[in-house]
Amino acid sequence: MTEPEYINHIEQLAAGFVVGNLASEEALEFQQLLQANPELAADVAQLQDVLEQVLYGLNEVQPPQHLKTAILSAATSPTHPTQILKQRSLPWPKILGSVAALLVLFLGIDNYRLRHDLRLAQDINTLLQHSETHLYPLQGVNAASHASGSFILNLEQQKGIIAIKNLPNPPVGYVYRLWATVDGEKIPCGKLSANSQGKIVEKFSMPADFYDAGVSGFFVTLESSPNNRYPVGPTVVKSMIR
Amino acid sequence: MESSSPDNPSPEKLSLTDAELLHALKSKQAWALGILYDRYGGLVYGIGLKVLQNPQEAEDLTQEIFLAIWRNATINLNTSSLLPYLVKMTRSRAIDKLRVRSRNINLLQRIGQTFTAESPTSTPFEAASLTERSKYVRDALAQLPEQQRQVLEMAYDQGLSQSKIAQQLNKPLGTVKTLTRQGLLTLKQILKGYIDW
Repeated sequence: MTEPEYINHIEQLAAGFVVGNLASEEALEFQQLLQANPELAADVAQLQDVLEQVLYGLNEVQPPQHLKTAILSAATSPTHPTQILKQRSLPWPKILGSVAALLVLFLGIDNYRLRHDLRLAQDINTLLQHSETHLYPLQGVNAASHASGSFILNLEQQKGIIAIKNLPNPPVGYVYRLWATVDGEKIPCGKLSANSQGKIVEKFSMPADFYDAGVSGFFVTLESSPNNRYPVGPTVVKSMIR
Repeated sequence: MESSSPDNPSPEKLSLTDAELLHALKSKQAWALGILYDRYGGLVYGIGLKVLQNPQEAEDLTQEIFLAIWRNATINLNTSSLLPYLVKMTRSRAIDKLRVRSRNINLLQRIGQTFTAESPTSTPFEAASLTERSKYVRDALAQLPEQQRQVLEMAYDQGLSQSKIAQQLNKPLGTVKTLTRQGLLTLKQILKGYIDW
């Protein structure tokens, strides 16, 4: 290898190091070159500057001004930093109002459901007395954009109750399934059965072991299988982000 | 190190390296997160916006990325900059979200593929005003030999991996690697007067 070829070879290795496309033997060779020739670090730094300019120049967009404040306040919040932006705290008057409305909606109109759901109503009442209860407002999306409701979760009691209205009946052969998002993972919670008026009230067992990393939200999908480990169908209802 | 307001860090803190800022994050110094956000927030948000094509989702993703760094600052930096790590993490998480959304839309509409992770359309991003830096970089790229420009844009504008670029261009992986490296070296010459070395 002539000297110009050797210089070109080193430049290529330095560029490959910066863009991260060196093969393992090339990476080893360059590491040894760097150790033997510390001045190469300056060339690497310059190439990193070039790459940064390219990345910024092709991608940077000014984010909304409130975003930095939101991130810093979520990070420094004393409780559950990752949940601050995703989950409402408990505005009790609103909760009691909306739950009362849901109870009227689900129980007042339908006598059969009234009897059937009395136990659920008692469960909701119990959960609402508890300080560790969290409320997740739900909103329909896509084909179920008129649906709305709430999910009430209490991990201490390992219970969750969902109430949704205006959810169209699933097509034949499909089921609605509820999922929780926990630390980026999608955890299946169970099936939902809508009545003929598109209403759902269901109680779920919520084992604390599965959810203790912090539930950032819930969503409902339309699935062809009741047993998939992961959601594959379209989302029809999801918890709202404040 | 004494703490200070995340919004008004002292000048000496502003000059700290990424590794030093990550070290400060381990002891939950919020000012360090603020500085990292000022350095990389626009890039993370921009990549999220480009892939997801949705400002709200890009915002959520940006929050997710910076809070993940806040929770776990034990990142082993291969370079002096956090940038490559952030770019990779942002693209990876954005593409995951896009795949989930794409599956949902496909099933819902019973139509063929609407979105692909690696060929996003570019309406909201391109609608955003171009910064001076953006214009300069795009002008510099335009001066590159065609094949070098093409692989650099596929890698850093569209976010494609080297193997994906090789596949799409029907070229050997080694050729794509060489074109990428050579493109960076040529850009270094072109940008010499622009970057303050």
